[in-house]
Amino acid sequence: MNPVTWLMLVGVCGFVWGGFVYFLIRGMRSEAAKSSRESEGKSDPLSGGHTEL
Amino acid sequence: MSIEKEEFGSRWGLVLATLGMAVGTGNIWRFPRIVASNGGGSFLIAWVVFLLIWSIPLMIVEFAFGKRARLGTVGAFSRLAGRGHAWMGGWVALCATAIMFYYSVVAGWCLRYLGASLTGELARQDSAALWQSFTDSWQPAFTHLLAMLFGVGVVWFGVRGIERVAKVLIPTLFVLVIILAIRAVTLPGAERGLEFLFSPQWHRLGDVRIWLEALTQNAWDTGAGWGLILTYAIYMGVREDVSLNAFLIGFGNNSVSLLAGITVLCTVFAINPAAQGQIVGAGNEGLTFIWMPQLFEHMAGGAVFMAIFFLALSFAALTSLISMLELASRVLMDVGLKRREALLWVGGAGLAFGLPSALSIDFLHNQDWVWGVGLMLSGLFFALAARRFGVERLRREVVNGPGSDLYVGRWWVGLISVLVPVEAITLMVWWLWQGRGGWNPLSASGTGTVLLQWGIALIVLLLWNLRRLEREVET
Repeated sequence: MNPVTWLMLVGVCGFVWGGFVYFLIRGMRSEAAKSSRESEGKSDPLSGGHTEL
Repeated sequence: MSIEKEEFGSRWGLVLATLGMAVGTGNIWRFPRIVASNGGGSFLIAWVVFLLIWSIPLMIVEFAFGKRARLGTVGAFSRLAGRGHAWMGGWVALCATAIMFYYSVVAGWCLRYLGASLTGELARQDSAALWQSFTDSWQPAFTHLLAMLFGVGVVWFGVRGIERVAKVLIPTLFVLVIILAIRAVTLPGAERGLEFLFSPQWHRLGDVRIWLEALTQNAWDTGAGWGLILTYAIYMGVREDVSLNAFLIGFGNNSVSLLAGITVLCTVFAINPAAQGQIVGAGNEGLTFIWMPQLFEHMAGGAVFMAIFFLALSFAALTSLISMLELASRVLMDVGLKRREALLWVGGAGLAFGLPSALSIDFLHNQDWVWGVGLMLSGLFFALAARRFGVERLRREVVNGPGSDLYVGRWWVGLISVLVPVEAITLMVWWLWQGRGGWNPLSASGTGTVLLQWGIALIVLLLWNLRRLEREVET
């Protein structure tokens, strides 16, 4: 395969799969933070952990 | 209104159920064919762009509508966009329900082929002859019944039933498509498939058709604008996130499409590269039910991988069917029916109105064409309803409201207010301008049949909405 094809393969797969894994991890971290706050008995005004997009 | 409060048990229940809705047969049998016939890498660029400027923005709208209104499509449009716009919600429900009628037939085909691959029938028989004898017989009606019974059986137990099934089927589906992709890329000659899939033909980026096909594919396979996400969002927690879930599902869905594209094209190029034009031009059913079994036959361990392929396809089809049944049932529940009563009506209607598609593949193609294109209009209606409610208000109060994990900026307001309507209208004008298949309303696959069936549906919905408003004034 030529370098441009390799670049496309890495770019498209990296973006789509990487994006999925990134948002999955963000969701898991957010859920873990929510559960730990709940177990500490703290209120959850806006859940916190906003990431601006 | 006698709807008991139902809610997903966790965020992951909602995410997996919604992923199950989004990942359907369109990812596995349509995406590889479309990408192969539209310039490979060039198409992928346009496909990724539309994930970001069509699918995800509309998914955010759907989540926000469901979370805010806590009603099905008709009720949500009526409550958020105004009572005069209930017909738009009716259109969204009608499109998804009309698709459900024949989608159950497709799910039945997948079950039949799963059975045939497990019993070795597919390996023993010529796949083209098997497909012909299957579709010419009464068997599709029976498998349609099986698929419908499975779907009704799951939705019978409410969102917790849907959640339980999704928690098993969706992770399994992901594992199955990953196994298939790994097998496909390790076949001798598979790199030719990767080269075909990822080689960009830069000049084709100037071809409007590539962009329109990419938009259509995104609308089809992510389920954005179908009303299905809205329906599941009704059952999300009050402090549940909207935007991160939309991004997660959009990227998750397209990840499966990419894996399916790699699987199919690497298999085609490794096993029978000379026939690649014929294979990708064979249509959805031709590719899946005739060519794929033939290709698997020539692969070491092909029988096992063939069973895995049809198992993945069956899971994808059934989880999508479940969401369509839930959408239609929810619309009936909003007018006072109990869940199981509504579901029996929907299941009965699905069984009856799906029969013509089960017995005639031409009828199925006609319905697929008419209501598939109707999804563009559904997406447009979501954007227009959001504008009517106030896109900025929706962003402030719901999308970035309590429980939000990702702050969505004003870019989203611009996309929903301007770009999504422009995309939808451009696509609709393009369809009409093309006039594919002619204007004869009695032709099965022309523009005329689309306009005729849409026209009847829109007139009925508008009259119903008008009558509803008049009754409200009278009372």
